[in-house]
Amino acid sequence: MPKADDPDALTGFEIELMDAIGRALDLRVEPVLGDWLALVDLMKSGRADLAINGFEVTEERAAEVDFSAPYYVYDQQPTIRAADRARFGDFASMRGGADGTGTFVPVATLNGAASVDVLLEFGWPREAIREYDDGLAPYAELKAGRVDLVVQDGVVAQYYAGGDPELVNLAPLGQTGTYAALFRKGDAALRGEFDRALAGLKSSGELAALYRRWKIWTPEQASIGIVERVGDSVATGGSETAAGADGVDAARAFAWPAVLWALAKACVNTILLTVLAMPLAVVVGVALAIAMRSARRRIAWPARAYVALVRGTPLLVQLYLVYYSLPALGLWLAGEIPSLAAILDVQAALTWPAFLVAIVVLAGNYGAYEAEVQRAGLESVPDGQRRAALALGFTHRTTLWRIELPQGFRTMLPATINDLNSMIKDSSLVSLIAVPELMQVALGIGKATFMVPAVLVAAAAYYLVLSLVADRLARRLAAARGLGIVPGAQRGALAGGAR
Amino acid sequence: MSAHASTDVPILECSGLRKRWPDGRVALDDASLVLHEREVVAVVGPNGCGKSTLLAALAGLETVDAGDVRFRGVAVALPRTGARPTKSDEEAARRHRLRIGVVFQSYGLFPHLSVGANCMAGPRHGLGLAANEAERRARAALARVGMEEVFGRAATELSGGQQQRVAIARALANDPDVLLFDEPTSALDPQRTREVGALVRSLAAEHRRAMVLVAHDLDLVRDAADRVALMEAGRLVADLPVKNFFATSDPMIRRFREHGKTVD
Ligand SMILES: Nc1ncnc2c1ncn2[C@@H]1O[C@H](COP(=O)(O)OP(=O)(O)O)[C@@H](O)[C@H]1O
Ligand SMILES: [Mg+2]
Repeated sequence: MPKADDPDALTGFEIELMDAIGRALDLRVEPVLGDWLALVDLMKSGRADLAINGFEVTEERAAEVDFSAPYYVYDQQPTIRAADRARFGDFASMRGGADGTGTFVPVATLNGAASVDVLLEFGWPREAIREYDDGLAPYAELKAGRVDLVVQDGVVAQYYAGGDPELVNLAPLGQTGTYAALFRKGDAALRGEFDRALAGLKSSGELAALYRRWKIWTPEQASIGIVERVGDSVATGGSETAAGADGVDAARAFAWPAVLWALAKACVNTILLTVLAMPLAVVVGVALAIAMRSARRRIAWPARAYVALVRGTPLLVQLYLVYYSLPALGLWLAGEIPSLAAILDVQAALTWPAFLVAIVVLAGNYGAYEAEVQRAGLESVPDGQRRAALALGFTHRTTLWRIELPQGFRTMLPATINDLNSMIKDSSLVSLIAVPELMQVALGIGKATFMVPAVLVAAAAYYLVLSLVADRLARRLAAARGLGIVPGAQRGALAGGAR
Repeated sequence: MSAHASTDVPILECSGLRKRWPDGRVALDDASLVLHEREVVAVVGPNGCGKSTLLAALAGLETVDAGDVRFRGVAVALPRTGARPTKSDEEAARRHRLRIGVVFQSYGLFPHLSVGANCMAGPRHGLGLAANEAERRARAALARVGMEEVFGRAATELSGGQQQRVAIARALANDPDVLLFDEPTSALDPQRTREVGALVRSLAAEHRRAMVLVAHDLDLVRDAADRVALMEAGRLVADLPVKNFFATSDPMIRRFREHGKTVD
């Protein structure tokens, strides 16, 4: 049962919850990580069967997905800077005073979360609400003084602000809601099983113990049927504090040697991506360059259209579409064309592993740029070279492969090495589809440990080293293969031909 | 002077070749030339009169608007202006090029290949011979031009004179029936001109294969050619035995001999 989840350590309690449910259902739980807002797409694309990541039960969402039974009751938690405790004595003072006529302080929260609706209900004007794509950023903004207040659900606030001496959590707002897992519409069988297993965890006290361990237990949990076994709670209560390191604190522990080692390991994936995608990109580029120069419009036109389309749209969009929308297209096709579905599992055929998607999209994208590079290379070969080859009895095809392409490639080698260099850094974009390369790992560690800037600087240093090494290696390799970079003057002197 | 009877079928001839450049200027204007077996014909004429274009047309490297090229009496499927050649025409033109060796004015060596690979290129990829046979031919051709010791060197490392000798070897390696030279010495300094000139003279003296020699250097023409054809504005305007060319008092030929021009 693949499920979607966020790599963030914040959701550690949900990962444990899923493990427990997996055990109860005797299913293998295989986490599929994705960006918070992409989790729903991940599920709709069939890459995951359910999504669990602090999704509040809202009516808007109910139109798109089905919800499980609630597994957690949250409340909205206001957080301010500790230094402002005197200035903002209570929540009301931040929303225009007791009479509501004063100013509303700027507030930060998570993009698309229920807290936005709560703030609007409390009268906040839209322009005073700043929305961010992850749970940590609002607290960073609060500390930086760009906002005076953060309102997020209690779990997030507890995790990010709970232990921070610069921040204080005020009394929760009493705007409770529930978290539930998301399922594809109509997937009643899986949802039923999930709910059955969840009910078991609620009544056995296992869930209550889990929440205590993660320090997110509140009395409201009883309202959704979560039972605390009193004897247990007392018995484990003492050891829980000591074992706290297992949960929140362990997730936050930060040690440079471990971080640098984790980043170094992530470099392997970055290198692998580039080493696999760049040669493919050159092959794609050469093929496209040849096609673009074809006298036959049926061949030249599609190649030109591809190059224009790919160079004219962001790599990020291409990644997103191939990763999320291609499987969704497969799902749709399977539904629309049953005869096709009978002979081929379209959805499975269009659902490629993230690493494959990354290679295909990087190679396809850079192939379009390489097409222009290789085309310029072919055009730089003097006509006399082509004539000399034809005069020796070469066919046009042999002339292309033996004379024009090798010389064009050589001339454009600096541009190709430049593309290689760019690809190393652009490979960071595939963190979007949760390929554990350098950027993805750096962001994961940074967010979990509140050290995003420091970890990003470390990652940047790794990128710098990779790019310098790649430049050197590529030049060495080229020289060793007799592809020394040809100065232009030499080329002119050799321009042969009947003139 | 040709030792062959005029009744022999010419090894290579062209008749009525016409060509205009896309800008409308005339490149070839009813150009006709006959080359017999083992004969050396020099083509001379002022700059820009169309000598190189004529050579390229003879080798099947240039499209023409009208006219024929015949090899041993058989018409060659020449590329025609504005027409896409069929596969079989293209293959026929390629077979024709295999019989014709061309030595270009500016050598045209392949800069990404070694000297040896340049000379193996024709036998290997033109004639389709196995690598060892191609290498044997390349070495023999390089030996003929006195360059066997540079087989493994990069073509770009050589001097201009050496490059031109390698270019001649490259053409010889295909063992063509006809050799076309396009001003083989004009890009060289006097010393190299003497070296390459000596090589062209000795190839001509062998009389092993027919040659067309486009040249500015009238001393080279006198030593190497059997016949001289004078070209002007895309047309061959005179064609006479080499002795007569240098003896005649015809005003146009005299003007060309003395001033390199056919008109004042
Ligand atoms: N590819 C071309 N396009 C247009 N004009 C050309 C081209 N090649 C040569 N010419 C022109 O055609 C004329 C004849 O050229 P060419 O055969 O090289 O003369 P020659 O070898 O006798 O000096 C010249 O005026 C030259 O500028
Ligand atoms: Mg010329």
